[in-house]
Order: sequence, then structure tokens, then C-alpha cells
Amino acid sequence: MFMLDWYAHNNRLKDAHPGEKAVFVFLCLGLCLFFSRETVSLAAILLLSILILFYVKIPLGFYLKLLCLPFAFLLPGCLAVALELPVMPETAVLILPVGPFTLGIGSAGLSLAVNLLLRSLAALCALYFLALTTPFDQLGWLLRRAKLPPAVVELTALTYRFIFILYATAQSIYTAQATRLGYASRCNALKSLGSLAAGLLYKSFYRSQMMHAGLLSRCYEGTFPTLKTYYAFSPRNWLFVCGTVVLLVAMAQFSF
Amino acid sequence: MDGNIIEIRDLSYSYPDGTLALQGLSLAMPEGKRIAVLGANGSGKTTLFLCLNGLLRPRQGKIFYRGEELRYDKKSLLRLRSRLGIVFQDPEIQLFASSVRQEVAFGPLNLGLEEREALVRVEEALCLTGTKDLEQKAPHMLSYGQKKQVAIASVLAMRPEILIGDEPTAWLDRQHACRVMELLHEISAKGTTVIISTHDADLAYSWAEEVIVLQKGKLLSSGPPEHVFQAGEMLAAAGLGQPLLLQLFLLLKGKGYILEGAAAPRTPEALAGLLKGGS
Repeated sequence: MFMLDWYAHNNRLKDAHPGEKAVFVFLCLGLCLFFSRETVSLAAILLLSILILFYVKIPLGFYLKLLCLPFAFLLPGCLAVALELPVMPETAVLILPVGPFTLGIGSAGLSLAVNLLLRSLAALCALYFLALTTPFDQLGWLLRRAKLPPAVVELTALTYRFIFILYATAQSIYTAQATRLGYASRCNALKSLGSLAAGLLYKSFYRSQMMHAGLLSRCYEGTFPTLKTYYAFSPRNWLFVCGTVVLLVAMAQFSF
Repeated sequence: MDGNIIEIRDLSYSYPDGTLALQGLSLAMPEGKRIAVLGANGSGKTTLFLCLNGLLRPRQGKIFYRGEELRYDKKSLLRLRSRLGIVFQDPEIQLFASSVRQEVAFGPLNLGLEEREALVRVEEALCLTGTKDLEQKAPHMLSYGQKKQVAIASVLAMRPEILIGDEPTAWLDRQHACRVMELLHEISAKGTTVIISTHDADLAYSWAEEVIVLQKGKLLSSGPPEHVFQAGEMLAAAGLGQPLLLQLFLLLKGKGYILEGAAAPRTPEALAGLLKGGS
């Protein structure tokens, strides 16, 4: 998660217009969901992965790890779609007799599952593209431009900052405990973990009070005004977005 | 004498747990000077600063800003805080935004400045603190020294008349500490009254024009550093030491190596110049 944030701040597209990135990503996402064709999804997966790996230059290992994360719920989901009970023997691809029932995968269920899997993967690639190329500050800009209520945007930004503070605090408590053998045995670990949670609560409370004082001292009045940022449009990027739309629409004309 | 920008009369503050942090403190801070508030841990330095900024409300006593008594209604507090900026000891608690640029812009925008004017101030503060190349970064990506500089920039961008730094060199390595002290010197040279707290007598001696010594929430001594630091016993009582340079000067003077009538030096070079028979 922290690596993801690091790449978002250190990649070739970090200074690109966030609007361009968002339009690109949501067009890919929208077209995949709209057409719901394997060809479109596959094309989007390939295109986005090539971009992420060879243009944005995310290491393959890290990218694969990111893709594996959602598989934990993606695969059981697709399996559930594919399985039929009872399965028609004439259309079955796989038959598993379980006691008196015939459980199996039918061809209709299979194609539905494959379609679902590819569509989900395409959507994932698209969102990862956004997450890997857009620093949080630009996401905030996007949320504000999308006319979300300021309170929601501010809360998102604060949460983002606090995740890192909370993590750093927890880590420092953990280190302090570990150096004194706080995690040497299972019993110690259980005790230490409890006091870590308690310590974290106390420290978070203290810190939030101090931060409030810090904000007040800079004339905080309940809102977080932000400086408008102007990003440069790139004709080359827009051309690429148009090309992608043409490609995906064209792919929708084919099928297996 | 430009007169006093801050005056405190009989200020007392106790924390909810009963700790008496300030006990009948009265002092004055001259305008446009570099002022060091010196004291051991728990002598009330931070509490004093929080009172000056109106973040803590004293139990008794009064604070005067340019002769005007500090009041605690919202409007008066905002006015005070727009003129008196405070850089906290731990920059981590001061930084909240998702980028350095937005962090520094927070203060100026709160002042209700126009976008363009706010931008000018942000640029100015970033350049002066040497953090311009960090402006797109998120706070958690900065080193501790960089966070400190950003925290200073975020207060500086409000162009306060008084800049308070609570232990500005705490946890910094020598190089970063020197950079921060130079920066505070530059800010002071532009006419801002700069107040720092420290327990480092050497630092206060070389940097400050006015020193205030606190002990257990009470005023022990105040005045120009050459005078205040002469009293070795008083400093020891406050849990502080005499600056090394001054100790050397006094020792050499006692042994008769120093030119007659020489005033206490503020730099090692000045001390070398006072030696008898030196070239």
C-alpha cells in the first residue's frame, strides 16, 4: 500500500493533467462495462498493462502482486457463477457427481464467468492505472472538480495523511516493545499487542489535539481552503485517449 | 529602543492535572529583536508560547500585544494569530495537507487573501526556506529536517509580525540546526520579531539579542545575553550552563590573558581578537 503511494508520486505520468488521466481511465472502464465483450476487456487489459509496465515503468513483480490481491474474492465469485446444480449433461464442460446431485460447469455458465472475470480484470487494471500515476493531491483536485461536498474531500485528504501518521506511530510503539522482547513469546505478543492498541488510541487522541492547536494557530475556521492548481493539457495525451476509444469500440465488433 | 511588542503581567497557568506551569510571570519582549526564552525542561517555555498565541487561556494575568490587552473572542484571536505565528516543536503535528504546497497555502488562504496574493506568499516562503523543490511532495515523504523547514514556511507564508519557534533545533543534526538558525536570523533581519525557546545556552548566546531565563514558570533573569550569562550561579540554578565561549573568556580574563576593558565576545573569532599579544 505504501509502495503504491510511492509509485504514484514517482512515475512518468505524475505531472500529467489529472483530468486527462481520469477521463482515460473512466472511458476504459465505461466501455468495458458497456460492451461487456471478452474482446473489449482483453484489449483493455493488454493496453493498460503494457502502459503500466512499459510506459509508467512499474516493475512486473509489483504489478502482479497488486493484481493478485483482488483474486481472493474474484475467483470464488466467478466459480460461483460458473457452477450449475444440477448441470445439464448435454452442455456440461465438467461434471462432478456429489452424492445424489450432479454438480458441474455448463458452457453457458463458463462463458458468463469468463466474461465476468475479464471485465473485472479490465476494471482493476484501469483503476490501478489511475492509482499508480496520480499523486493524492491530484486525486483531491479531481474530487473537488467533481463537485463533491468539501467536507467529504477534506475528510478524504485528512484520512490519507492520518494513515501515515497512525502507521508511523504504531511502528514506533511496536519497535519500542520488540526491543524489550515484547513479542518474544505468544503470551508476550498478545499482551504487547493489547497495550499497542491502547497506546495508539492515547497517542492518536493527544496528536489530534495538538494538530487542532496547530491549525488554530494558523487561523483555522473549520474549513481547509486549497490553492487552485493549473495543469497543462497535452494534445498528445488526448490523441491517445481518442485512439483508445476507437480501438475498444472496434474490438467490440469482433467476438470469439 | 523600539518599545515592547509583547508585555506580560502576572501570568499564571495551571494544567488540569494541577501542574503549575506559569506562576506570576511578568516580562516584556522588545520589538524587532531576536529573543531566546531559555529554560530547562518543564520550565514553562511551551506553555508561555501557547498562552501568547491564545491557545491556552491563563488562569490569571494579562497579555498585551502592542499595548493592547489580549481578548479571547473569536475575532480578536484571529487577529492575534494572523500577526503572531508559532512553529511547533514537532513538525509532524503541524503538517496535515497532502502536499507541501497546499500546506504552506493553508495559512495565507485562511487570512482571506486572494488566490494571486496567496500564491506570491507561498512562493516566497518556499524559496526562503529552500523547500521549493519539495512543493509537490506529500509530508510523509520528507525527512525530519525538511518537515521542520516546511513547518516554518507554512507559518512564514502568513507574514507574521512575530515568529515563535518552539525548540526550533530539537532533534535536528548540526547542519540542519545551523540552517534553521540562519533562516531565523534572515527572517529577523527583515524586521520580524523572532522568539525561540531553547535549553542550549551556547545557541542562545550566539544567536539572541535578548534573553529571558525561566525557571519553574517564574522569570529568573532577562536582558542582553552578555549580561544574563555572566551570572553562572543563576544559570546553574535554572538547570542551564554558562556558554562555553563565555566560560573560556572569563577563565582567560582571570588569568590575565585578555586585553583590559574588553567586553564579552559573541564569536570564537572575537575572543581570539581580545587575546594579549595576539597577531
